[in-house]
Amino acid sequence: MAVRLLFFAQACQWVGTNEVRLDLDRPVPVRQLFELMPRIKPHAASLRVAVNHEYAEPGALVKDGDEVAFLPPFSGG
Amino acid sequence: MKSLSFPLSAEAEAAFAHGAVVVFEGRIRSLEEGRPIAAIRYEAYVPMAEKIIAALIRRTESDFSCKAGASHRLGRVPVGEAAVTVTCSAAHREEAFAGARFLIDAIKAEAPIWKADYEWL
Repeated sequence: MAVRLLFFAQACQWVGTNEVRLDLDRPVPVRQLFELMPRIKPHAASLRVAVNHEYAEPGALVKDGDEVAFLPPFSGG
Repeated sequence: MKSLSFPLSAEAEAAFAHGAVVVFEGRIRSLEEGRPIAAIRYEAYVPMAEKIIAALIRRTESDFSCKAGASHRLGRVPVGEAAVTVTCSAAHREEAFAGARFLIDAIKAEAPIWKADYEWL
């Protein structure tokens, strides 16, 4: 199953790209995505995570076809 | 895409029952932490920002008995130009000012938009 991961602003700098496609064997909770990405894991506390454009809790399951966005603190305006 | 845009409805502008219109512009300042810049580049998680800003506008209109609109530029915005605009129209100025204040504060706090880069001089 493929999941699309999007990284914005500082998250993009940490990871080195703004998009990653991840192949997973089964649905995983959001918190496990951090375990799979060492460059983003140290910053987990500062990031909000959205799944399919809705904020998601660490335990929310991510499944095939989902779009997951890692959102640093906003600075618009 | 160059901007997120939620225009004040034409119907609202034509509703002459509204005597007060407040327009807020957030412009790019020439100094960032004391250092001169030429521009700021903005990025956004567009589908989510659109959804959130639309909801904030509806909430502003409901809570402040007004009509509201907003826009936020994406990409490079030079010093002196407006990155964000909020417009609020109401019967009287109390609601118009309060609605505009609420909406700009809410967009800044809740919309997934970032200052991605500073263009330093």
